[in-house]
Amino acid sequence: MNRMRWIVLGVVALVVLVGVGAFAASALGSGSPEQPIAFPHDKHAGPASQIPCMHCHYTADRSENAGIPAVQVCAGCHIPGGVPMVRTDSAGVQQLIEYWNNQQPIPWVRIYKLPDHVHFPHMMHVNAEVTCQECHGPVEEMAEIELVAPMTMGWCVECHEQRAVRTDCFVCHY
Amino acid sequence: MADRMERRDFLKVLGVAGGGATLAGCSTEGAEKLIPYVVQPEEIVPGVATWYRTTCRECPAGCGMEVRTREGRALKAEGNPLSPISHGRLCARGQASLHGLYDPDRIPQALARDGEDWERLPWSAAEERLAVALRANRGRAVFLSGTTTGTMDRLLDAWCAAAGVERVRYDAFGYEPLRAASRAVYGIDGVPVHDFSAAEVVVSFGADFMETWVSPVDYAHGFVQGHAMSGDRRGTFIHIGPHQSLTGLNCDEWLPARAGTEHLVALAMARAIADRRGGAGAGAASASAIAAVDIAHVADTAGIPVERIQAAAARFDNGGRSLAVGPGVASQHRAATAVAAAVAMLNQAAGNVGRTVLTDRIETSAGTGEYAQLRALVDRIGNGQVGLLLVHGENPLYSVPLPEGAAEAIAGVDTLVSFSSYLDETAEKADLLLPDHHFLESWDDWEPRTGVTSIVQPVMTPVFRTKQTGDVLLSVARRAGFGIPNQANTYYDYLRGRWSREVIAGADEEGWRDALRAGVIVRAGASAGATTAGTTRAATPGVSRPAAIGDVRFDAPLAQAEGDFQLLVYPSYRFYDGRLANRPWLQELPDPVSKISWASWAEISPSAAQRLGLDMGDVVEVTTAAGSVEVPVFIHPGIRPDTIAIQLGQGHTALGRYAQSREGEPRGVNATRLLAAEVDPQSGGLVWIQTTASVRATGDWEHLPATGKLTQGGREIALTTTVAEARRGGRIADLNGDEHAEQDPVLAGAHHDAHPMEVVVSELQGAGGFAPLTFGGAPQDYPPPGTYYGEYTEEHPRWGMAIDMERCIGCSACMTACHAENNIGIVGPELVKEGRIIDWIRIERYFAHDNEDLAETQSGGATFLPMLCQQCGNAPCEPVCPVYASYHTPDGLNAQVYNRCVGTRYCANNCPYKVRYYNYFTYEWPEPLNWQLNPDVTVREKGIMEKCTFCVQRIREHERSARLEDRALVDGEIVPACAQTCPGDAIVFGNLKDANSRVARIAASGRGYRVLEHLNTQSAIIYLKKVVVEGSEA
Repeated sequence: MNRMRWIVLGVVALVVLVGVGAFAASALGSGSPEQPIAFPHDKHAGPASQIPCMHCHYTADRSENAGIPAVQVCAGCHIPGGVPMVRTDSAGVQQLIEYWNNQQPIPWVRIYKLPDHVHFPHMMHVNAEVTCQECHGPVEEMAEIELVAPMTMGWCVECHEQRAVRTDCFVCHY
Repeated sequence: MADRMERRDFLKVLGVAGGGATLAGCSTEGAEKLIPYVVQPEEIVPGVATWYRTTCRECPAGCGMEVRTREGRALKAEGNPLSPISHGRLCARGQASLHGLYDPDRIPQALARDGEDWERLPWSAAEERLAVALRANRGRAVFLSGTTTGTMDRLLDAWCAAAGVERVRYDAFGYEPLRAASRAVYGIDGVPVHDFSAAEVVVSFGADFMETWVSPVDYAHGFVQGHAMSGDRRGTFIHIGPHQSLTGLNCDEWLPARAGTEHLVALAMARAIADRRGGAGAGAASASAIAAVDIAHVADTAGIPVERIQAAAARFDNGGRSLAVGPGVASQHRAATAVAAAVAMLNQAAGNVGRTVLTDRIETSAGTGEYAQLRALVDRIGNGQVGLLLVHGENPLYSVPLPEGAAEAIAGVDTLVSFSSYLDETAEKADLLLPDHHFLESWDDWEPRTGVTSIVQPVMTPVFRTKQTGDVLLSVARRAGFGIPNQANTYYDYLRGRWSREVIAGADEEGWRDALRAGVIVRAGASAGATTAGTTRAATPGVSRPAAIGDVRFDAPLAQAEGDFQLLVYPSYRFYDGRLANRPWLQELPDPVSKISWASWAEISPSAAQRLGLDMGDVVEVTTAAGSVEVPVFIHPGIRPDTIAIQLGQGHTALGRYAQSREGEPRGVNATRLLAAEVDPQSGGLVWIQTTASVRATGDWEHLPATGKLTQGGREIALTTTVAEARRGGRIADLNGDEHAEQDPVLAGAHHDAHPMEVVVSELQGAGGFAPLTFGGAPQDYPPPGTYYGEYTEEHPRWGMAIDMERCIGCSACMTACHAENNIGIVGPELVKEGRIIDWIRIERYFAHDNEDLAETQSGGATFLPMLCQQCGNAPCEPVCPVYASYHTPDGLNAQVYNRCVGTRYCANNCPYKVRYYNYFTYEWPEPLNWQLNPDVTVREKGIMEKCTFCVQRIREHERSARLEDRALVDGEIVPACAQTCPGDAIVFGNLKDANSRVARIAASGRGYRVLEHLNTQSAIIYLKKVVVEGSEA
């Protein structure tokens, strides 16, 4: 009887695990959702421009949030007063100009999302010299941002253990 | 072993299955959006809090406040440490002010009456309507408001003068008798400032100075400083009056004088002092009034022994370091002006003037109007002499008794305009609603007392399409074509202009910014002559205020009508006059005395209850000549057997979903409906204590939404000591109500060797707990090394707390602060009845006996004990959790990991302190109340156990900034929300391992002990015993 119960539970667990695996695989490999503007990180952070991440995501070293740049930050380069610093003829920049002229925020689709019961302070990681790429991948090569890490607790803890930093629950979950 | 299914294995598999189901339910459909700023405000870093200093306007006291905002939303209110009114603290009302800001029942925009409905108006159209009404009603218009000070007061005066509008002021609690007596005795026009911190002996004649009276946070703060055991010094507080509210409950000695005799007792005390000194100590005028007193006769009338009056007087005669205060609403009877005058003479007799009674400064916010003026206005409205009535800041159709037909007359005024932010009883009848901003959205200032000007500045953009009344008035002035002095386009400009001229004259823009950063300007040495209070004092028909002591009538009659009980109404600590009744935090906060939430109750004494055959919750009908209410009974040891008390503040017929029931019925009863609209001819104030009432049992019973118990039931929870013992520094266990202590050998046998502790503890913790059973030791030694699957290294602190019960006045501000900080759900009255309230910190209020009148035993009040998670080093909750959701952190915290918790509730079952709370449902915050949720704290849902975390989000925040700044944590830098707001500074948080930390030094006090220490929980909270004054126990 007890053996039977183990088998039933084992089957249930197996089915679920396969499901989880399939889900994780699909999330990781599913490419990117469509963004309101096809923002090419490779053109901005790549060899052509070499803009540092923190130029736009400038709260990453002082806040829990890395910060999504204000439309003004984009406009600062693309819509300068009179002197065009960078090209303005591409479709994406035209969209940007429209958002800026309408004073509307750009509704970016979120890709990296942690559950609400996790507190991830960006500034602690940035100041501990964890590079952005360790979690977000080679963004400077990406035309479209996609999820490169599973964003699971095991994945977080693995790194915490390698670096011998605190792993007790109450550091991130409260 | 192989074929045995262990509980943990089962749950592990089940947990995986559950997790899988959740994951499978996710999809990238409906993806979350990241909405950036278009232009990021300079002062905002997303994810980092921005603080603004402003002034609390929930009651007139005007506490300096600072508000934490994140991404433009106000999240938490705290006191401004620079404010001499708040000292960095707030009461529960101030903490709950955010619920006024985010009240889902606020009036969202300008509205005009359209039959039974409301027509939405753009502000321009609404202002035009008011301008038209002003032109049509020149000479027939009245602006009715409560007390205003500072710039708004100037604007209202100027605007009304220019618009041909008469100004009438009244306050629900206007302290008219105090002001009348101050003029007669001290010759000043207002309530003097009281310095409680300099008073070693405090005597209150019905003044609820820790709750609502004049400036409750400052007074509570000062009281604790002057009163709590400190070194060898311990103050005394004597409460005189028929009833103990929260303030009275803090007394060391209670003289339960019959209602209406307080002034006689005060005079008798003055007489006793004069006798002791051979007649010296008072002015000639008061000397004759005092000499006329016969102490024995007073003792007989008041119902207290002569010796006790004389003993109280002897104590009070303390070389200028004593303070008498009163009356409050609870002693505002026909002789209230005499009470105030007698109290002033008593202070003079004891040499307190200039030491604890500072007559060179006045409490500007303690009322400027008069109830009599409202009464006169109501008569004129009845005669059709008012065509336009503008109401701002008060709710006359609810908060005070009015003559018959007055409510209909006010509602029937041609144009009734309300500036209320909420659809209250008066606004409901209005023709035009011009909702004011909440004060957290406003530019303004407030002058709480002479020499103090406090800034009100917006901490966020308005939640609704409301408009600040100052701006409306300026705009209407332009539309109606009348000019006012210093006219400005906006109220901000008007305010700024006055500041440049008067408050910070000569200062440049940077000076103004400095003022905004400070939030308050204190001018040392300012004297009352510089204030403008009382400038609008008009003659009121039928009121003749005493010009000197000789004019005060000390023989005013007391109660009228035939009834069994003296009816006593008193202000609500939580709702003030009722204006705050739609704040869910305040509705759910158990009343500090009755511990009842969401309801009204009538208080009668145990002996009276026995006489009438009444039990807790039995519904009685209370009838006076003015009306009748049905209300359940709370049996209160601290009330005279001939008195029945009902708190003000409930019984709203309008105001919103929390003040009223789901069906729109009033929640509780409005006690003003039992009163006649009677004016005190000596002061112009309302006679609050005016009648007797007959009390009849209806035979019904109501389940009261109450928490906690009246007594400790013989357990050693809240311990007391005596002054002598405390001075000796010995650790003694003087148990309140110890005649029950022998019931349970485990509980009673605290440190007896006869009881095998190992057995007891292992029974309590369950076999196999992962903390080894070690005994003895100090809190900082726990948890011992090797007891956790992580490492306890030296650098980890042991977070702990010291709570001094001497300094806890039971006000429960910590409870509301905790709710605000930690996203604690509001469960509502039905679930409170089922014991499902969530209070991470609660205040236990213990009487010595539940079935004896305190008036009989003539002892003090109650003992308060803040109870929260004790963060045990050897925690009973931890080993019983099947999923390790409850575990111990290296810094000595009992963590509750929400994402692990599966809701077995074993931990709560095993917690001897009962401080774990379960989410039986997913509780909701109707928009926009959810805007207040703290993003640093997880919002829990159904099925999750939760409890106090020592505000771990604050600990982590400071740990992080220390790490980033490469420094050590500084003692005192981490302050949990409860400790932050405590007006008595009763709670101190810090690292117990650091012997120099403030918490470790306080914890080492001879009064220190740990609750249920004999269970070997090794808790991290050290309580300091309350000190009982010898002789106060009869």
